[in-house]
Amino acid sequence: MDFWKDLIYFFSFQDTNITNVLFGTIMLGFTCGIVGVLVVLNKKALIVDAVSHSILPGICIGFMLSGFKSPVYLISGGIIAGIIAVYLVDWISKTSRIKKDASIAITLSVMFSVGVIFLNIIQHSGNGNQSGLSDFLFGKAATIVRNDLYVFGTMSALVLTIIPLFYQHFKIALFDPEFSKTIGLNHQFIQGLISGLIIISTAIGIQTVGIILMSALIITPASSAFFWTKNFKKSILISGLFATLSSIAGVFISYLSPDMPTGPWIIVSLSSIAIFSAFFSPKGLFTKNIKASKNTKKMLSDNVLKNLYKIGEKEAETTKARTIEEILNYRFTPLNELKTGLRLLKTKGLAIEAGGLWMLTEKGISEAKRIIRIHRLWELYMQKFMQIQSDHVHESAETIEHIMTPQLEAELLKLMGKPVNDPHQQNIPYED
Amino acid sequence: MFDFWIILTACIIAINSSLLGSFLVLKKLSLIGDALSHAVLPGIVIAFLISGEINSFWMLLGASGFGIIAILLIDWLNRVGGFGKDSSIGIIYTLLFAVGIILITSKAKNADIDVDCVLFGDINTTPLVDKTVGVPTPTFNLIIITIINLIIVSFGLKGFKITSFDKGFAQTLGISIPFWSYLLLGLTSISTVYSFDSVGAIMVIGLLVIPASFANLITRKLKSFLVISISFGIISCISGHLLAVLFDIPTVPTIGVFMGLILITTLIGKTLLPKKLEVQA
Repeated sequence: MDFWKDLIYFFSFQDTNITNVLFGTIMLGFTCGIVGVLVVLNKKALIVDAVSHSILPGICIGFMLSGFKSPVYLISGGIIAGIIAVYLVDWISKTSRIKKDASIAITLSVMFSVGVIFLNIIQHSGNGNQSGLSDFLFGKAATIVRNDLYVFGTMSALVLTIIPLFYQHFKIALFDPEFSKTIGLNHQFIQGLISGLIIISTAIGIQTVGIILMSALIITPASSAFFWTKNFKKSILISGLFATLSSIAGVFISYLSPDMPTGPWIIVSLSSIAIFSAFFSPKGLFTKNIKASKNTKKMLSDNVLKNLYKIGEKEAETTKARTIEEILNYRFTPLNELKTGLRLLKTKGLAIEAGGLWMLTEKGISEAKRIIRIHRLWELYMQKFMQIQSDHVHESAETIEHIMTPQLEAELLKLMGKPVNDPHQQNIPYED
Repeated sequence: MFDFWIILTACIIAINSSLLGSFLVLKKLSLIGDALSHAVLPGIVIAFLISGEINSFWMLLGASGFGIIAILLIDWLNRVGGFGKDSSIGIIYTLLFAVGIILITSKAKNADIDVDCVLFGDINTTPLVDKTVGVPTPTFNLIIITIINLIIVSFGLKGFKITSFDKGFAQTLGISIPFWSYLLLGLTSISTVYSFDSVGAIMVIGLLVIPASFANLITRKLKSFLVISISFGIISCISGHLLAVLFDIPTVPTIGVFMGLILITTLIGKTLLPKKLEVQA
């Protein structure tokens, strides 16, 4: 019962502290999630890592200059350090043999080291305001106050205006860089703009999840969103939604149990969504496997159905019951596959079994005719219209018989009239 | 003696990391190294919760286990999940690191491992801990691991070399590329675990990548590459610690900044100097 009471209290917005924290976290999460789509599409995922680690010295200098944890100073410092980091990564990998990944690793560890030294100097300076500065390492959403909200709000608003403003530019530059160059879009400007968005959202996002986990707040929701849609606009919205949900989950978990850190829980929630998406989304692994096994089953039962019909066709007795041996004699199929196929036909009501004998139902006969008709029509079409030798047409027909739509079948019939025989002089069956 | 142990520990870590880092850089696996240095955290914490001590055998087992899990997960997300390489790395290491932090803050409170030491390590306490045969235990473990690594690398030099430089040729010769990659990553995750509580997660990656990248600027021959990389690591550790003592700042990040400055200065020097014709080795 306590849980429900907590839940209701949490979402009733009675507590201003909770409301501030929740609102701030959602705002930051949403912004980072949206920027993430640009980042992942631009294959810049790991630049975020370099930027977030490099922000530490900037924050320290901001603190030294302002003398207290002024959000404006800290974020400005962070943004400047972020810009330096982006340039450094670029410069190292452009002027030398050092590859981009190594240059990212170099930048993040060196800049972070500078930050740790600054942090140490600040800690030894005896400034009483410095407590909580190291919260930037792992984030401390619980410390978000009204004043922070204004600053985050402004930055988020900036990011959320830039994206719709340059929406078309981003879309073209990300999906077709060559085309974007051809039509004279300024490639460097757009890349710079994306880097700018990364830096701004990272500088504010570390408040909730901290420097180390920052890259996940940007990369993970976007990566998960691409499992659900291929549409640019939709992926932006879905990514923002995932980040928002995870932010709420993180704040709620640490509200229920104050021992639990908010930032890491936000990341764990995000990753859970990612893993869920990888399995169960329409493009996910699990869904794909189900589809694949459905297809295999359909092909298996189609083939057994065909064989059962063809035995009858040969003897001009399609409704006669057959033993399994007879079917095997007509065309060899591994026994277990044949049995599975027959069972499938039975559940679909296409065949019935009586005392080990199998017989096609009315429905089964018409379905078998349909498959064989498609097969033979296609063979004929291939021979007549594509000039393919009649001994080369079977393979393709064997595939298309499982997937051809009624519309396409109607087209074929319209094109060729109602042909009697296929290229192998076999009768094409029609409904009576 | 106090400074000696610190410098010795740092140098051992530098030798170890520069050696393995050279191959990581050559194989373009730098960021997997980064991921590993973060991903071993939950293994370390779980082993600590079970055994109650740092530097135990459990710790090695737990952390190496998580290192391998991380590599497999990254590989799996990339190949089967279709996330792409960069995103897979980013997703997995942050997830594992987050789990580690959650375990530390909720379960291992008041314990010897705390969140700060995860990031920066505490090399300065090395001389104060228990000793094995007269050497501080962490240093002793590191020496053993470094010797093992040196032996494996010197015996497997050919395999590492061919799979780093010419994958096609390696395949023709029937040399397994995954075997050598996994061997390298396995050694790296074991070394990472032992370097972890001395220098912290971020400098583990610094020591893996920076010396090797410096060597990459200077030479194109593998043997001199390794020698330069290791020497650069050792010199940086000694100078870094001396500078840290001089300015009264922490040792580990000073080593990082020192390495960074040398690397960047060298790069600037190279771009300013007139380009010589590079002889293809």
